[in-house]
Amino acid sequence: MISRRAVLAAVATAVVSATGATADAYPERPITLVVPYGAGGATDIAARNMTAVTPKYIPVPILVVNKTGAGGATGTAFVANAVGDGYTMMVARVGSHTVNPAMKANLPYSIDDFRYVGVFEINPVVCATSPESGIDSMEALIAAVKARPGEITYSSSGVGSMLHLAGVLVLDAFGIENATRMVTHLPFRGGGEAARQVVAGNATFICTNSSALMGHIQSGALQPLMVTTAERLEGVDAPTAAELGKPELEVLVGWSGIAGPADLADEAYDAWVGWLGQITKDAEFQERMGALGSIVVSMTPEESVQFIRHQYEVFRALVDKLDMRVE
Amino acid sequence: MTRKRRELLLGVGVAAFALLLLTVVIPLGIHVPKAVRAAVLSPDLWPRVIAVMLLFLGTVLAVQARLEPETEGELPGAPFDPVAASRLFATLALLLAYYWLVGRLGIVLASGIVIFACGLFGRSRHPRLLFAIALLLPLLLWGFFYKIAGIPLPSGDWVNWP
Amino acid sequence: MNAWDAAYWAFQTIAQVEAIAALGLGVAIGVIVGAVPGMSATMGVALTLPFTFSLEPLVGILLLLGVYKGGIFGGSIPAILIKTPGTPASSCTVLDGHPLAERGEAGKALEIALYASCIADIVSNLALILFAAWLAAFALSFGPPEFFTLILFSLTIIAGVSGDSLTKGLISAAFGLLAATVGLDLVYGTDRFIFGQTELMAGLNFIPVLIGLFALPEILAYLRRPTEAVGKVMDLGRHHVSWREFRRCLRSIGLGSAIGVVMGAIPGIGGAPAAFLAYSEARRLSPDRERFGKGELEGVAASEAGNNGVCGATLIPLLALGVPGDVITAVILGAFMVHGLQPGPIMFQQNIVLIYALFMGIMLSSVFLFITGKIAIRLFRRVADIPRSILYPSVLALCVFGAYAINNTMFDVLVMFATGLLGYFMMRTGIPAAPFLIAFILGPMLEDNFRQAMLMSQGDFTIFLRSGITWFFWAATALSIGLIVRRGLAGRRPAARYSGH
Repeated sequence: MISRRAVLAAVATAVVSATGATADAYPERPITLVVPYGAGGATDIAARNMTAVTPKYIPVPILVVNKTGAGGATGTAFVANAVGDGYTMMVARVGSHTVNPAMKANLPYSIDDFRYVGVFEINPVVCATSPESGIDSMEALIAAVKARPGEITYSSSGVGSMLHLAGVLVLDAFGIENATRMVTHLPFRGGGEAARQVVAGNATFICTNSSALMGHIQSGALQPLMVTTAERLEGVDAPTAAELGKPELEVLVGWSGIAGPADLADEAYDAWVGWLGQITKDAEFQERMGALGSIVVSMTPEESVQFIRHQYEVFRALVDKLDMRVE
Repeated sequence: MTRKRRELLLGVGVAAFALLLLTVVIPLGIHVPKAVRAAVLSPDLWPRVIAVMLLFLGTVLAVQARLEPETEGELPGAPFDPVAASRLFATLALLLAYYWLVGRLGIVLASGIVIFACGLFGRSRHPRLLFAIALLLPLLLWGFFYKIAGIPLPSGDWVNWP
Repeated sequence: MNAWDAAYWAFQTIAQVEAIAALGLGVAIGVIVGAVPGMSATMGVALTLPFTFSLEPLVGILLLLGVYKGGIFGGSIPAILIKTPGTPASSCTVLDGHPLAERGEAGKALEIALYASCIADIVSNLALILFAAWLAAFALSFGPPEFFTLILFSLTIIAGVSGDSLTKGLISAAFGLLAATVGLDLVYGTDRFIFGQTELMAGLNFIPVLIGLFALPEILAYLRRPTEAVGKVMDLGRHHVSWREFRRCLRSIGLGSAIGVVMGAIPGIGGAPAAFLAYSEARRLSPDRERFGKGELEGVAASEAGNNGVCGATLIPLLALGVPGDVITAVILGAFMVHGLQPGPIMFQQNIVLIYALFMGIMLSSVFLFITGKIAIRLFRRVADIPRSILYPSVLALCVFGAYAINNTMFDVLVMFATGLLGYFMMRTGIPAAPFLIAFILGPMLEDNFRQAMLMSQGDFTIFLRSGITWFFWAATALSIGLIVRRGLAGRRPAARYSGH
């Protein structure tokens, strides 16, 4: 039986949290960490990796909650509308926080509806093709697009995913005019599926996180064309964007960060900034994320906001230029 | 109501719904972008195909019913039963009340109350067992979902628990 | 190192307490998670994942595999006992499992479900071990055009679950297809039937629709006219599957296993369509076709063989190619990668001992499934004794918890209530629920693959004839429809006489 004391305590908590009086008591109950993508996906695994080490730094349990759907919009909109008491936070992601807002007019939130604690992980982007396609370099890809307009396809994990924008962003940088018309976007449900279709030869190329392609590249099922990091990636035999004379493509990286609603209370914000600083320096966390192909980064909140905003603006400019906005 | 009459009404109803879909719901509910690459790729193609299918099937059902010889027996349970009908509406009200209560009292308390109310409404002859279940089952589920699986459960505005 | 050495070292690796314990524990967790509506096998595996980080790779992966297999079987327990499929994959088991339980033969239904699951599991594991490379190549040749034709063929199973009126079955299926179009458009990302509701952007969630369609109408019908129905209490303990009955089901189990293996090896299909396909094929071949849907043991056997046959086979694309076929194998891929292992052809060269140990563990898991299943059936015996006036309110609460937990939103509870009402209406007007469900699962796949193929070919329809696989499924679809039409014509006379009574 629930003791009456528990109920009374709960009622008391409700009253107190409603008035927001006990500012210094944060956190006093479990924190919900919303993952806007499905269980088992890259974002989910990043979040669960994080909760595996949080007991060392955060005094209350972190409950990872998957709220999936609409390319991340469902869970993200939920957090945008949540109370800013610090008990509802989320894993922000390149897809949900820069690509989606840049592309979709029908989105129930914008990039300004959040207070960003920080980016904790970045994930290099690799462009690759199937070896059978006969395309073995960016140059050959560009030539093929020019020779056969509309016939070259690239796969993505859906409208408004990073993969969707990445394909045309890269082509645009390499001087393809009207990139959306010159290639065909082939949306699939999920990044794994998108990669598989390139391996099977049903799509010509893909630009996505290195972690999603590493296995295929190592087994020779995919031919890497380019990486977007400043330095070459271990295990990927492909030039960097800068080596190919397109350093501006370095903006194209996947990332994950922690964010709360725009009215996130200061004490919760400060607490999270501190915790995230500790988590990103945790050797165990770094090792696990590294095994998945991510690079753990320690960005200050200011650097993070600048990084996110810059990426958003680049994406937004491309969307406007190519008229890719979804009404 | 005879079987024939029921099938006829059902067929006409389905066909009417399909017409409503084609004329009102699809044009209002589906946003078709200006530049669709090919007609077969339009977002409203598939729903329109389904609506046409429904129109056809509804018509077929109605025609089949017309051609069918008149059956004599009434459908089982068909004579209008005012008690059963009002109980059905009461049950629907109970479901809505359940939803509303979750928002006020949290899912655990609301479930306990609803289990008990629902059992009494179902003329349970074991009120004590029912009470025990109404008390224990929500707590058990709370333990399983919240404590073991780490899934936060909804709390209410009046009682902020769990 | 030759194969025998590798096998020897693999045996050394697997023959340790932790590995065996992990497997047993995993299966037990899986059965429990699967038995709770709203907790799918996928969620069970995802929730177990963090605990595997600190374990040895083999132990962790065996734990996850145990949860997966246990979960798929566990789903059949509530499907049979309370008409609420615990996981999507067990929704087909409801069709014959629940009528059996209502007749007081729940024990039989659960036992045959367990036997079918275990046998299919073994078949599936053997297919993984023996034909992985071959099946993987086959699976990879499935692109959008091949998928489209496969799903078109799968839709013909609707005829088998339509009951006495094919027209009504098709109407039900059309509503299922329509319900599945709610959400954002795949190709353009624009709104479809959202009407300003943010929650609808994600489309209707499968689990609430499933629960609403099957379990809620029962509860509504009961509360409308409460009867304690003393004679119909679902008695569990007394009835066991006899050897003769088991032998009769063997053909369906074998067929279901084979269908499960093939469907499992193809990425992205999953357990529910495999179970339905196995069910409809078993029905087609059965001399007692009429008894399907009214409590036929073979129906339960076929559907459970179909969904468990998928389990081992979904590992084929993962281990042979490094391609996860569904969300569960994606989680398992994550577990490999956290330990710095990359499944795929390279793993067969570099980590053959681990692969062999994994194979041995997988074979062992069937044994654990059998033991755990036996215990679970004994434990759930009590559920059958609960009077309806207590059982149904409890099921209602269980459904609300489950519908909420699947995506952590009360909106899904509303969706469940709404589909419950629809399901009740369908029950009263004699429209079968199963075609709705099949169309709801397959509809999006059909539309997506059609449009992806159209994008690939720039609107050229000949892409649907591009390979032998597409030809095969076109032929199979034509054959299947031909059989339905012939049967419909042959059955017209007696049916007319019957309705003339």
